[in-house]
Amino acid sequence: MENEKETVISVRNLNVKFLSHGKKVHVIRDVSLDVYKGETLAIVGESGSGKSVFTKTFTGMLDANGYIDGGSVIIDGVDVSKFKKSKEWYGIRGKKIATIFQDPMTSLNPLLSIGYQISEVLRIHHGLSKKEAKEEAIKLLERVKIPNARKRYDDYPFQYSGGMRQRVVIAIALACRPEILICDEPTTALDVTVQTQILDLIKELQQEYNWTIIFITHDLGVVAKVADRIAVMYGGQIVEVGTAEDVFYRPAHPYTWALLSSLPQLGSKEEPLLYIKGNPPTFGDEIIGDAFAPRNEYAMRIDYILDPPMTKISDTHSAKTWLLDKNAPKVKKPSIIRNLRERMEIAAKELQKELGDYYE
Amino acid sequence: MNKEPKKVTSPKRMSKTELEAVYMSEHHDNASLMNYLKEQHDKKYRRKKDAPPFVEPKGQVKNEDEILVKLRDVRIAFKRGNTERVVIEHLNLDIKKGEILGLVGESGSGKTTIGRAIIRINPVSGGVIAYNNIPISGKINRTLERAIKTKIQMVFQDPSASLNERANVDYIVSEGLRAFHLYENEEDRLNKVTEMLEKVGLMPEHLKRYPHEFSGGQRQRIGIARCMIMGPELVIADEPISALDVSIRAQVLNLIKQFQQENNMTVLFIAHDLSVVRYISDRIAVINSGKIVELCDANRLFEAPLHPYTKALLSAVPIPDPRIESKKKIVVYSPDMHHYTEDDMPDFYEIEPNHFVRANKEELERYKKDLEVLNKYNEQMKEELKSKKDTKKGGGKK
Repeated sequence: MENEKETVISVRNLNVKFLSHGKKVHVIRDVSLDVYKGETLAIVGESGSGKSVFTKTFTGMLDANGYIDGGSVIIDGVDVSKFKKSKEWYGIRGKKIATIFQDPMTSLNPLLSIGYQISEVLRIHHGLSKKEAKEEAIKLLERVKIPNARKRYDDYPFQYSGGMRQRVVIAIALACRPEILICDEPTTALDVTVQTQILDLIKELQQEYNWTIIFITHDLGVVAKVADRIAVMYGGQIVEVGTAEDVFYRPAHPYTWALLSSLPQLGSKEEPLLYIKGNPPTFGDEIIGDAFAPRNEYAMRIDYILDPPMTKISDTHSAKTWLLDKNAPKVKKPSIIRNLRERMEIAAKELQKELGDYYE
Repeated sequence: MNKEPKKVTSPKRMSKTELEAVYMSEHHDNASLMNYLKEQHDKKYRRKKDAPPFVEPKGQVKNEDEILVKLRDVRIAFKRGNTERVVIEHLNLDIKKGEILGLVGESGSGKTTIGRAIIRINPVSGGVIAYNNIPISGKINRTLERAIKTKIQMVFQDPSASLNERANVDYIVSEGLRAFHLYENEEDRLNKVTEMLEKVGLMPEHLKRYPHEFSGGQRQRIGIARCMIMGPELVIADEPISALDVSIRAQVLNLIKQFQQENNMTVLFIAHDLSVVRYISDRIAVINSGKIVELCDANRLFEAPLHPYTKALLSAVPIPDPRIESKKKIVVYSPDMHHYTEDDMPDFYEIEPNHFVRANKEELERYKKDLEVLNKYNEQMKEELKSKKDTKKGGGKK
C-alpha cells in the first residue's frame, strides 16, 4: 500500500532563514515531509508557525530577505531549492503548482476586468488567440459556478462578492491545468456558508482533475472536511503528521490536544472554553529544546533542553514529542480529548437533525 | 458694577459625572419615545393625502424595565449620487440589560451596519434607536452625544486595522480617558492603564510598545482594553474574533465573557459563525438581508431552528471530525424558498414564548408543525443521552 503512493514533492531537512535588521531569523527548522500524488494534505498551525513560508519554498516565492539554508525540495526529480534564476521556475510556477491565496482581492488586479485576467493566462500559457481565450475563459467561469458567466465576463473584481472572487482565483488556477494546488487559507476571509461552497467546489474539481492539494489553514473544522493527511506545524517545525483519522482520533502531541480542545464548537455554557495559555514563539527568540514547552502542561525537564525527535507511532503517523520516548512517564490525555468523539457526535446530532422518521 | 462673568460650559469641558447629570435630567419612557416616533411619522406624511395610520412598532421583550437599547422601525440607507440603497428597513430589536445578544448573518446582511448605527457611526434615515428610552439616533444635542459616547464602546473586527500604528499602547488605551477627563493626575491615569492591561493579560512593560510588535491575539486584547477602560454599559463587539487564529479565539471569547460578568455589561456580539455565538450569547438574532429572520434563546435556537436560513447556517458550521464531516448534508438557503404574495406578507411572529420567527401565515402553520416534531426529537435525544450516561456509570461500578 505504502509503496504504491507516488511522491510528488519530497522535502528533506529544509531550513529557511530570513535576514531582518542584520539578524538571521530561523523560520523553518529542519522540516522533512512527503506529499503524495492525488492526496489532500492539510498543514495546520497558528499564524507565525511558518506554514505559509514552508509552502512558498515549493514555488520559489519567498520574500526577498528569505533564503533556503540547507536541505532540499525535490519536485519531479529536480531539487528546486538550488534554483537561482527566476527563469528556472517557469516550468513549475503555474504550470505544475498553482497557489490560491487567502484574500482574493490581493491576487486580482482591481484595474483589469475579470475576463481579461483569466484569458491572459490562457493566451500566454497555451498560446490561444483572443477569441478562443474568451470562449475558454467563459467555460472556466461556468466550471467554477459563476452565474451568468458570459455577462459577467467584462465585470471588474469590485463588482464580485468575496466568494465569487475566490471562485475567479480558482478559475485562474484551473486555466494552467496544474498538478499541484496550494490553497493558502482560501476560506479564512469568507463566511461560513460561502466557505462550505468553496470547499465543496475545490473537492469536486480535485476529483475531476486528480489534483494534489496542499491546504494551509488554522481551522480544524475545515481540515476535517477536506484533508486526507494532516501535518501540524508549530514554531517552524512539523510536530505531528498522520492521516486525518490518526490526528483527529489518536492525537499524540500535546499541541494537537490543545488545538483540538480549544474549539468553540465544543464549548458548553457552564464552563469557560479551554485555551492554550501563553503566546506562540516569535521568530527572533532563540528556541532551545521543544518550542511548545513553555505553553505545555505536560512539559518535562528535557523539553527545555533537547529538541525531541520525530517518533513513529504507526506507518502513517508520527509525532515530535518526548512523551513518546520509552523513558517518558505515562500521561493521561486531557479528558476532553478522550471524550472527543462522543462530544463531536453530540454536537453533530444537534447541528444535523435527521427528522425524517419523526414526521408522520 | 461688577458683573460676574458668564460661566460657559461647553460639553467638551464637562466631566463624566456632569455629563451623566445632563443625561439623567430629562424623564423618558416608552410613551415619550412613541410620541417621538409619531412626530416623525406625521412629519414624513405631511401634506400627503393617503397617509397610513401610525402603528406603534413593538420589540420582542415584554418587560419594559429589562430593555436597555430599543431599535424601532429603524431604516438605514446608503446614498450614492441619486440612487439610494436601503440596507435595513422596519427593524425592531430589543437588547436586554446585562445580556449578550448574538447577531448572526452573512456578510452584506447588515449586521455590522446595525452595530455601527447604535454607536452613531452610520446615520439612521428613519425610525429611532433609543438608549434607556432616550433617542440617540439622528440629530441629538452635543452634550447627550458625549454622554452616550462614554456609555457605548466598540471592539472592532480587525485588530491590526483598528489600532493606530503610530501610537504606543499607553496612548491607545488611555485616549478615551483623556477625552473625557476620567483621571485625576498623570499617576492615576497610568495606574488605570496598567491595571487594565493586567486584566486583559498584558504586561506593564508593554505600555511603551507599538501595535506592530504584538501578535494578532495580543492586539485584540489591546482593543478590548481600550474599550473596557471607559467602563461602558454597552459594548458592541463587531466580529472580534473572525480575524484571529482558532487557538486564540477561545482566549478572547473568555475575556469578553469575563468582563461582561464582572461589570454586568451588555454586549451586542456580531459574528457570522453560529458555533462561536452559541457559547457566548444568551439570546441570538439571525439576520438575513437586513431582516431578522429568527430570534431566540441561544440554546433553544440550536434545539429548535425553524427558519430555513438558520438551518443553513447551522449546517455550515464545520464539525472537526472527519467521519461526521464526510457524511454531513449541507442545507442551502435561497430567498426563492418563500412564496410571499401581496396578501400574505411575512411578519415577525412569536411562535413559542421568547422564540420569534419571520414567516407568513402559511409558513407559520408549517413551522408550528416543525416545532412539534423538533420537540419530540429533542426529548428522544435527551433520553438517549441519559441512558448512555447511566450505562457508563453502571459499567464503571462493576
